[in-house]
Amino acid sequence: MINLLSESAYIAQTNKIKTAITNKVNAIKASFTRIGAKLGANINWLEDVESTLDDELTAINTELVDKGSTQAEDFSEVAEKISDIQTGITPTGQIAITQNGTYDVTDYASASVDVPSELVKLLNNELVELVIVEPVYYYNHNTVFSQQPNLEKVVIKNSSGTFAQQLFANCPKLKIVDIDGDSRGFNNAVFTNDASFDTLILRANHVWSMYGVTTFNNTPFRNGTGGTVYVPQALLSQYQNATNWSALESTTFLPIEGSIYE
Amino acid sequence: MIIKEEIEINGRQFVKTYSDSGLMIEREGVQYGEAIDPDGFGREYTETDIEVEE
Repeated sequence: MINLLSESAYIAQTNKIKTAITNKVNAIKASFTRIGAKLGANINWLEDVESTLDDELTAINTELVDKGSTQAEDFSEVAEKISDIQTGITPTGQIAITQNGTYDVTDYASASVDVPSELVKLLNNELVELVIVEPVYYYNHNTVFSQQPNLEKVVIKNSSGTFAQQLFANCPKLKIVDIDGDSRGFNNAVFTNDASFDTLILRANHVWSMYGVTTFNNTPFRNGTGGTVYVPQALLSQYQNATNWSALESTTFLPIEGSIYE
Repeated sequence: MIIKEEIEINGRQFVKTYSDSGLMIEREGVQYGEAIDPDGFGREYTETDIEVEE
């Protein structure tokens, strides 16, 4: 059986369906709106994160560049200092400085050092004549110039401090020592066993002290061969009566003035 | 203790002064292991607490 609706009932039924559909559509639209809002918020958050990361990366990069620059300056300073001392040291390699701050100094584990030729001769026992012009402090160290088999002459222009034990001991060819400066004393055994040593010139205007006659043990000043000490004329009589100087058995005191050493 | 001995060197008389304890002796601020002076100068020494060098 066919149930036919009246026109008014049909219209009412249709409107009801339209309303239902409209409500559904509106609900769907509202859902999309809410989803869109959430997506929008998330997109903003992601953009903020990206911006923050960019800022942080920029800051890190700036810091790295600054540190690299500082390290480069530090290495530059090191290089300058090394350059300053290159007078005495010849590097066997180079320091490599890179932007990330790595460097290699292993080549500097070995370096050659230039030393005065006089020191080389001293170390090799080849020293024949020693002339010291500038004040030095070797005199305070025992035996510094001892046991030089070829040393014949010592000239010291500006001495300082007390001459230490055995400073020139055991130099068989040493013949003449000529000293000027502020030094005032010979310690024990300074010239011991210098069998050829027979001429000492003391130019200072004061009388040197002497530890004991042992300062000149086994030298011509004591062993009968005969040694001469040249001193300023004004000090001659003082030396001749001075403690220990006067007791050197075979020593003659002469004035520098008028001598070949004037 | 300070020891003094009369000695002769090349016919000249001297006074040798030293410490029997092996110490340095001193006069007018100068130290000696031993001191030999011409006789008649009357130089006097005191004992220090520093051992003489061998």
